[in-house]
Amino acid sequence: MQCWRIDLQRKLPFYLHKELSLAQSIKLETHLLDCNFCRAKLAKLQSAQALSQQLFKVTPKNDPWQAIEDAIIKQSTERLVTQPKNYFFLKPNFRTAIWFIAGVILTSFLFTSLIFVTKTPANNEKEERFTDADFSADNFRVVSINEMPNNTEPHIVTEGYVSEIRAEEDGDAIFKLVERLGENQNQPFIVCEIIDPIKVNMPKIGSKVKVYGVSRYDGKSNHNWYEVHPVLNIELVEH
Amino acid sequence: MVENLKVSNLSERELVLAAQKGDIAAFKQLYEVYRDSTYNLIFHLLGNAALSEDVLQTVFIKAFQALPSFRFEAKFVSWLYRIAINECHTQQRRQAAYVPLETILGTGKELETSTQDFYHLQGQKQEIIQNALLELSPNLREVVVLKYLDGFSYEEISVVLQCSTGTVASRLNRALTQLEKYLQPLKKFLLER
Repeated sequence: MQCWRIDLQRKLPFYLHKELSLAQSIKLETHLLDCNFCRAKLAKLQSAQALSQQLFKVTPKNDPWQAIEDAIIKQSTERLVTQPKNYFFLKPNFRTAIWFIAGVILTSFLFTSLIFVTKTPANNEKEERFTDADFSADNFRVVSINEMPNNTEPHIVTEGYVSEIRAEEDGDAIFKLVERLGENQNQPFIVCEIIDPIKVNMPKIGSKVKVYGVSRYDGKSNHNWYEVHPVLNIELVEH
Repeated sequence: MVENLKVSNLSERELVLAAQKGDIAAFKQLYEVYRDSTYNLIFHLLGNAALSEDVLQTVFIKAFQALPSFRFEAKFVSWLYRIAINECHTQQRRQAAYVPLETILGTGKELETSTQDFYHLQGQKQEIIQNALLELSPNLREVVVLKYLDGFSYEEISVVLQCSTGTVASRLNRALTQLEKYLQPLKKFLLER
């Protein structure tokens, strides 16, 4: 006779495979005592299970490990050759950040360049040459050649005659400044040094000039004299 | 040699972690543990020894490739079997349009096996059960093999096949009913030792 307890019939495989709880097992067993249909069904399942349990185990005739290992090594090598390494700086986010920073730097550079280009060449020259328009004499203390030993100011302006001119081996040029021309060799003097890149025109010998620059004492054994070094500007007083 | 000894002392989890980092020696240990059971699964699903060996090879290559994606959410064997079953499905689809020449002409080994009665008898039994199994649809075959060859619980089978335990029970019920029907006439012969 057909059994209509579908819910319990569905439990038969669970019961067969001991996947039911104790309570559920008891409930099903109670039903099985009264139900020939379910008992027959369970018997068929048990019979099929006995056959299924005879499924035989097999082993591969050939061990394919060597082929597997070869394939793995080959693929790993190919991956190394064809794919870039996973460096952090190759990750998309990092690359984007790098491009952004590079863009900002480039834009800043172009903007700064544009500002410089719009400046007049004369202005650039002023910065380098300390020319008249840019030069403020107020910043320099007037010191005579005689007063030099007592001077303590770094920036001075002194006046005198150019008695001697000499070109140094390193490309700099020096001239000797004295109070009066034609006097004896022992009169006080100042050595003025024009250095690169400060572009100042060398005065002619015998001309009277005002020399602006930095005062210093050259204490080398064969020197021991006062200098204006570097010369920042020269004003011609007399030819 | 020292390296191999070291590897052999590692737990399965440690072996998997090492293999995930590309350690082939560790992967070989896993292969040795699961080679036969995976081969059995494949063989009983496909019913062809030569093809099963090829598939076994493919499964382990694919497993090594996919290993970095394994997150220990399931047992390693469940994950491996999932790959094996998927590969068997691929093969079954290919085979659907292909009839091997051996099935038409025979393998030529039929006479060889009949010379030894005992082994022949055992071979016949195995062949009958295997043929009955191959009569089942692939999804019924899978539950039978996982249940009776690997002894998996319903829960474990459900993880491998990615279905509910109710579905596992239902499939097992249908599979056993069909097997019983196929093998009914030979039941006495098959069950005698």
